[in-house]
Amino acid sequence: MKAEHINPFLKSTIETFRTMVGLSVAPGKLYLRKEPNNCDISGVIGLSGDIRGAVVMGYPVETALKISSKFLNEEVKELNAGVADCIGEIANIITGFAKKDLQTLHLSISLPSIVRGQGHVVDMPKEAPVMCIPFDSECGSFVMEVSMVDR
Amino acid sequence: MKILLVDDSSTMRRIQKNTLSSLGYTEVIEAEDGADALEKLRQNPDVQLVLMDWNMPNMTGIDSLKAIKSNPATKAIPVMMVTSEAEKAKIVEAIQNGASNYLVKPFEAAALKEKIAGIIK
Repeated sequence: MKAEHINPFLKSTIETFRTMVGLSVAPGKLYLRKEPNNCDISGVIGLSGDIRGAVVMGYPVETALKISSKFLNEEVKELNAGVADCIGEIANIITGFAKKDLQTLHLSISLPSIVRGQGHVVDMPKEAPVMCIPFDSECGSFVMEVSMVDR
Repeated sequence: MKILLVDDSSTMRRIQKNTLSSLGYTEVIEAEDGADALEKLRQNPDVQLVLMDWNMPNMTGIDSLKAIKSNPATKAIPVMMVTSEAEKAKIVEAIQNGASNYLVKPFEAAALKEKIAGIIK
């Protein structure tokens, strides 16, 4: 996995939250996933084409509720179908927007899917490391996990 | 002006509907995929603008666009793609198939306003 493949996702995450949620998010230091991140709900987008992999946007429940409340402009108090749709759509927008800067690759993205469960792990291709980009914001922390394998 | 909003995400339909309302477009109906959009257009021949997502289950936005533009009853209705598909090739494909404009998510309300104004001027 190359750095030029990660940077578009980082940039897209910052831009998506700024534009659609009105939220400033600050990326932290990248690390390799060695143990589960502290996530209760994740939006997952599959990647196919010249590369194979996935992008996972994972949130603790408190962060997911605050971000969904801000996105929907109303207070959300529980992880319901509306929050799941919101988390999926954010992952979809981030991944789609990142594709714009990956136009040297023929890349297709899946419809978003949602994984729930305390401390869950989304399986990624075994041939590549899972890069994690932590983000912090006034709504709390969350993490982006990216894994890509060249075909 | 009656607008048909097509997106499989209830979140995006809600956000766009709120944005349209703030811009003065209050007559908005919704469809949750491309096939549903065709049915809603059949039921609402007075729709004057369609805002169409691309990636949806059942029928994609591009397939729905092609169906709208190949039907004499609906071909004159302007369709704007509102999608996270930001690649130039996708934009070209949509325009070549009759889309009146193209708005990439994420977007701000001002961008939506400007694009709609460009279509209905």
